[in-house]
Amino acid sequence: MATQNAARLISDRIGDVEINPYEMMLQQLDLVREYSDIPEGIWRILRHPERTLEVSLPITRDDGSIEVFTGYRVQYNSARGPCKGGIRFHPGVTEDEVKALAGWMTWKCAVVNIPYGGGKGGISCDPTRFTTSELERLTRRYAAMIYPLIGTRRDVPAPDVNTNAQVMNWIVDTAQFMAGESVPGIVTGKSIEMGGALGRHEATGRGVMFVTLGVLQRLGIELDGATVAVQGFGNVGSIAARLLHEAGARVVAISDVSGAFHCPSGFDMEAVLNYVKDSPGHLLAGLSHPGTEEISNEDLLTLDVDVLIPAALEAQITSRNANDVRARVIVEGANGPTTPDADLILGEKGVVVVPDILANAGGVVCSYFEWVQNIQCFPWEEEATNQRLGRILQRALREVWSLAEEKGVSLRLAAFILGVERVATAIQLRGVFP
Amino acid sequence: MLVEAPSGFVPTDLPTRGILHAAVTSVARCNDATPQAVLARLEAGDKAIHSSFRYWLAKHVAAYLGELDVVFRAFYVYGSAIGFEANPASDIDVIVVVDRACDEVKNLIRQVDLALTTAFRRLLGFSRDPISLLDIGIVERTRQAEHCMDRDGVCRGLHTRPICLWRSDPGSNGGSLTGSPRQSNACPQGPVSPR
Repeated sequence: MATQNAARLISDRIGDVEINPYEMMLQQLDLVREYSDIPEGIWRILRHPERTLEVSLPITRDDGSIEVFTGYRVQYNSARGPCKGGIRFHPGVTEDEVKALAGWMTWKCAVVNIPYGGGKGGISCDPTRFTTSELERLTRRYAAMIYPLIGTRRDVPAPDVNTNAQVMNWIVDTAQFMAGESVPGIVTGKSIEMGGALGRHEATGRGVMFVTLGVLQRLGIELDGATVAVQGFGNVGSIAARLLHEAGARVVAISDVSGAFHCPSGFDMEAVLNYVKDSPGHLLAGLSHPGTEEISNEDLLTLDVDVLIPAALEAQITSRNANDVRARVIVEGANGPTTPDADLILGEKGVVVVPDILANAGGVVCSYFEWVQNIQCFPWEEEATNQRLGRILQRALREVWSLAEEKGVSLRLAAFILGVERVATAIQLRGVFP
Repeated sequence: MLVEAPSGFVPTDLPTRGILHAAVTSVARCNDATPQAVLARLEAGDKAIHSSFRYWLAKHVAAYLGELDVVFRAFYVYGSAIGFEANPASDIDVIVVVDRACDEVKNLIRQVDLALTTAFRRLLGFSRDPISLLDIGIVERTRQAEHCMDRDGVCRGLHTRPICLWRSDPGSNGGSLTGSPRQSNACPQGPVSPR
């Protein structure tokens, strides 16, 4: 009884042990520092965001009542270019979370060597509680409040958790009224009709495909017939699966929230995508494909395949299942699918893990293309976007791979080192103002 | 946890709450007290209880990392955690012997420290202390003896001899880090080798 009481007492006191994400980001930076020669002074700069803006956002609900929400926009570092990073609407948004994610965007843009710094924004709210008109009012108020910070050459937001092209359209429209001129490059991820980029919808999945091809080539694994399992069949997973199938790989397992399916001879991806297009909720449930058996999502992660692409949720590969993973390569299509514990186990097993910061960077690279097109007032053909995306990601993979070999570290740490060192170099070259 | 948390923001699988609970109940058992009394004495800053609590935290963390069954070969604790001198803000001095001090080991240990420190602060209502609960020195197995020579403050000038909390192969314990292997749940018997 005393033990049970103690367990309850401890549970009550510490809750779910939410770790401050900003402290986690500083831990990442400190680990990078062990492997780099960044001077102390530059290091101090890197540990702090340039600007943090907190805004109060009163909106009138449809019933006439007024509610006030809190929003943030953080510009972590602009040494390499205008800040770039999404805007998320979620009840868990905090200042430290936004600061941490803004820092992460800084390293991510630098890893793929696009001329951006890093930023992030968000509103602490539950968007499922809003009608469309309430969401529009909240978005426009937020856009107006952060307007002094954002701009085509200053800080370029994009969609993130619970925000989409429509939200970006509202932001660009609000900004246009405040600026008194057209400012399409003030956000990316807009609708095509509003200046969005052709190929944006597919860019993250296409990037996963490019990175996967590059890794297979480096490991001497023949693409033709290479086996691939994809966890998650949304925008990233389904597109990566289709493109890898078209490139000659054999996609032997796919899954979504409704179930997982294994087809050792390889799925006909066109047939699968046609099925999902018309299925209730666009889910895989009920998929009938020759030679296919239904398996668990857990089983999918431990299939004997050449490539595993976790493209669903975070923390899918953990200390509980990492030892059972039989894939030779893991390409992180989703954010954070591998826990630190699993990372260690996979590394010891010799599994090559391509980290999310590189593997799913296709989205931000295409955002960069959208911004370039907006500035040029010259929309590209989709083919041009796809080709340039491939070149940028293949170069980034080559650079991360070389650094990992040179320093004897994982691809994950090598990517962080590359990103952080590029930002540090830009800061050094600029000097410290005044 | 952060929604759609990218790598670097995904916490360790360490069962933090379970480890705190196990440490509290272990201290209670060794001191013939209730867990509630242990928590009260921790809050009051009782040095002996803080030391004992840290010893058991280190032991349970060692057990968790050892059970991952990779790289980790031995864990030692020394300093205030076994000297009965720990303050509420004291860290836990630990030496971890590994096959290879790869970056994944260093990252995991940092994340374990952050998770445990966060939970510890919350348990006792501290806002900032300790800054870091685990002060872990990572030693590659092959360089264990050499490392020990380099760290006079730890291995030669110790106030307390390191205690082995866990090791994967008792027969291979090399260098001068040897202590009393405590692989059981026996309670530690007073400060070890005070100087």
